[in-house]
Amino acid sequence: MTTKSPYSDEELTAFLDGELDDAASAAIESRLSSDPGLQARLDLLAAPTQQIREAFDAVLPLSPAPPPHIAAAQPTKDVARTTPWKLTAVACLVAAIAAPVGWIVSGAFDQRTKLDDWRDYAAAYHALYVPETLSSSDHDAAQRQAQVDRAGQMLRAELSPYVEPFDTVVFRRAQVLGFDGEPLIQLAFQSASGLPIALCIVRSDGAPDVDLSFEDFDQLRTASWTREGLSFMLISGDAELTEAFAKSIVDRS
Amino acid sequence: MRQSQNTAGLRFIRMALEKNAHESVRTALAEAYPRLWRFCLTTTGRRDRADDLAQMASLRALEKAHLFEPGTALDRWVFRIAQRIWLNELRAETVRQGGGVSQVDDIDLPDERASTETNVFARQVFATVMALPEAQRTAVVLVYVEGYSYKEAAAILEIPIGTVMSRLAAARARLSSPSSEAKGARA
Repeated sequence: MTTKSPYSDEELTAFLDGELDDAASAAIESRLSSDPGLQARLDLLAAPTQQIREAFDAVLPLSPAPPPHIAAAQPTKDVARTTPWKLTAVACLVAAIAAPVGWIVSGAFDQRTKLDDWRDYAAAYHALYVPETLSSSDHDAAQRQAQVDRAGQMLRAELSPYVEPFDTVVFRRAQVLGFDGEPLIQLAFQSASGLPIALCIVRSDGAPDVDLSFEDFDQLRTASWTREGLSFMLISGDAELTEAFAKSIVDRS
Repeated sequence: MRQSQNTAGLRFIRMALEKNAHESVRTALAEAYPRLWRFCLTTTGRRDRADDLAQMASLRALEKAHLFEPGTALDRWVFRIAQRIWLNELRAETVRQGGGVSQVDDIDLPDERASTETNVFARQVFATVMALPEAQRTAVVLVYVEGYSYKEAAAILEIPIGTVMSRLAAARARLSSPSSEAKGARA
């Protein structure tokens, strides 16, 4: 057979790479037995792909470690070559000179944004509460006290003063939540009308005391303050109740 | 009241998704970084430029993390980002600075297996691929090293599948046995 092959180099390449459909592949294979010229053309396209892969895999260890903006919060063994203080310093530098990158940076920037973040999350979480959320919570006094004790251990703080009743508001349960790897304690209360109220607490060691202030989150009212290494946020759908309850808690601590 | 609670709930979900997107993109970028750098090395043909391009591409990917579709392949996405930065921002400057685009002399393969014939051969194969024109060696690495399909490679390079095929066919013709060096000598 000396008839000219009907296949282009591109088609033969696709055949070698397994990219032709079954029918086209079968056609080439069946033609091979009767067309020695076709086999010769395939030979001319036979690149050592296995060796190419091995050679390029040998290059991978030459890669530099991932830069700090990727690696800072996700240490890998490669990053261990760089000392932590250096990572933080470079991360801050990257943050300072690069375009705004939200919360991808580490170190000082995280410290600054973290407080805003946990309050947003906790408030949004509370926005999902309806009266039934807490009405169905029927722990007895001993169970509730055990929850408070466990949450207090997690937070390394005595929480009992914060679960005292206020007006018609009674304590219903304590939950251990988490934010950025740190415990976030939520003490849930309910008024006589069924309104859910939450006191959320995180540790903020080293942060200065901050006086009570109020802020709206959609139609929820939040009260925030920081005292002796703990940051608080009280939140409910009743602005008056939130403010009065918050003042009474601040006076207790 | 109920309406506002729903709004807040949606806001919560959106915040969580955005934060999750950043974290998952960052984690995946750290894992894929050596391969991203290798792709940049192939594209730029120069180690210093590969360092720069891989850093720029990963930073750009983090900035655009909210655009990343979870469940899709992050490596292909960041490779495409690197390719765009190279073509739009770095390539012309690199060429203008002289010395050609490709300078692979400063790339030494690790010498883990002593100086065996295998190792010598690996160096030759690497050098031969890197001596291909940029468009061909990039296609070779995406398909034969990274294992992407033609379709995936075409999407990364933002070229038609037919162009991937013709680049690979041309590369295969230059890389084929018995000796591409002999072919090069004839050329």
